[in-house]
Amino acid sequence: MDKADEHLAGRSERDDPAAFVELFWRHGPAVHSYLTRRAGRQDADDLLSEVWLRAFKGRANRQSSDVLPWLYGIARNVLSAHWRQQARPTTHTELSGAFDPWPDADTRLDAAAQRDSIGRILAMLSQDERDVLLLVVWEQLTPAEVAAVLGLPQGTARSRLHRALTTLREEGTANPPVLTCSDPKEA
Amino acid sequence: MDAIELLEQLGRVEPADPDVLNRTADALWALAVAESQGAGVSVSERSTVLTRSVRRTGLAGRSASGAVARPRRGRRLGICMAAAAIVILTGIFLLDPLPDRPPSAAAATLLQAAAAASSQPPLPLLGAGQYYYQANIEQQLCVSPLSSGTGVVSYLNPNTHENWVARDGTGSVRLVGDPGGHWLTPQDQAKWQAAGSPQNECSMTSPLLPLTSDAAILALPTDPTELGSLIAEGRINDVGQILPSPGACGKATTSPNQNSPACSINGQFDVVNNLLTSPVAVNKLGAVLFHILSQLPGVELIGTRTDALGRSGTAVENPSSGDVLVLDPSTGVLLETQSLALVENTLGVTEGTLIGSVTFGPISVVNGLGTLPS
Repeated sequence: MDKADEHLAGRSERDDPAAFVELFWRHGPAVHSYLTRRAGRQDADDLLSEVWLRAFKGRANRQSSDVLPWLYGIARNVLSAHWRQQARPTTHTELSGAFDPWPDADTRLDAAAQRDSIGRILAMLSQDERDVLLLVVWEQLTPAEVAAVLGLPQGTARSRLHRALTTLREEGTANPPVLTCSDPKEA
Repeated sequence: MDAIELLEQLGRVEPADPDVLNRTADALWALAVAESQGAGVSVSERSTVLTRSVRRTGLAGRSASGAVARPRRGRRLGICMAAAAIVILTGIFLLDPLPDRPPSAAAATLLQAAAAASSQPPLPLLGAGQYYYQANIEQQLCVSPLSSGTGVVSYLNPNTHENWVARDGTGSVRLVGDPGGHWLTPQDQAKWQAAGSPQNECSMTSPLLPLTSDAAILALPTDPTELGSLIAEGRINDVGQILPSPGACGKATTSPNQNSPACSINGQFDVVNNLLTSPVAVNKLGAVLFHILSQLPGVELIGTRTDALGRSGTAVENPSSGDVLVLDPSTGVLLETQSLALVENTLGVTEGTLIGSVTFGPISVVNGLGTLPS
């Protein structure tokens, strides 16, 4: 539990609503990144305010003791509503919305293939397993925090994470997602 | 590289645009103020609040690569959201040529101000829900190179910064745009028009921002020698945090001399100057900080100045950095900080031009966030 978060959240609930703005500056960028990874940058820009205004309105009813998992939980609900409105399958993971992580030209050549390969493995997971996996790998949450986000018992979150990691490793090994860039001189 | 590492890489995203973050902070602030005032804003009114706040900031649809997501108060509060090519300076006044006075006169003035400040009564204690309120006038000179290659143009962009600071040092600031923004000279306006009247991003402001907490400043030692040593060692940053090792000073000396302070005189002046922009810090540490400034070599007395609120004060300057403090030595009240253009300035602003100012208004106690003094 982050004490500064708790202090600010407590103040905002008692007698100083503006303390919530400070919470925003602490976690707004992380929530934006969460949204971007799942919905792409443009939708993330549009949805960020929705998440935080919902959080502000609902701050007195916060169940989770930790602020960040609570915020991710709200962001997840906002995304679900967004996808329903868009009639978009919620199993979709918008890897194409992510920042190109390959700075070098040769590795960039393989980026699309790698993305497809990872996307294929993610598609093999259940939505529940995928949610847990991505919250751990992308948002760097602990299984306990993931449980708070998803409203699950901690043991359930841990077992889902285990299954997801096993699938990822096994499929990744059987079908290595890293493609080597052939040397034109040797081709 | 295994699949998990690849997945981590695929999760990398670019940081959020500061405009996007500022708009949400703006909307949250509006809701917080409304709630503090008991007005209440329903969720259905949300889009209205957002639209209004975006319009007020003038940021809708613009990029602002030079924006500061979380600016600090006072002289360094870089509010002018301009494109990367635009150089931001601060200030408005033109000063007389600087007289050559002995540094000891400045030290004597600062020590007089320190003594006066130490005899001032402390700020009244705040009750639950109360805030210290201070309205400061900040005027910025925004210098923009013209893409036509025909030089630079200078635009003055004033704002009022209304500060609410709680007893624990946390606070918020509301920026009220001033319609008095204008080109510095008729020649600037003429050059701008001759270049086709390009969009003037210098006029953009951001009205709703959180203040960096003053909590760290309030915890600083009040002994001038102790605090002065920490600053000279480069262990106090400009929001008052004490670091375990030197590195807080952005202008470290390069001298290998062991007797030299880790933080240059300019850097020390800069840190003290920034600490003085906190209303609660001035009340607690004003005398200490004036005393520390009096010990810095090179600080000069430059005469009497009138601030943006029409108050007369005595000005002391660190000539090597162009930083000026205008204070009332009889009360120890800091009236204004200013920044002068140095001779090295290559932006078309002449040496001695005062290019930045923050004028500090009186401090009042108000009964809620967003509430104004009666």
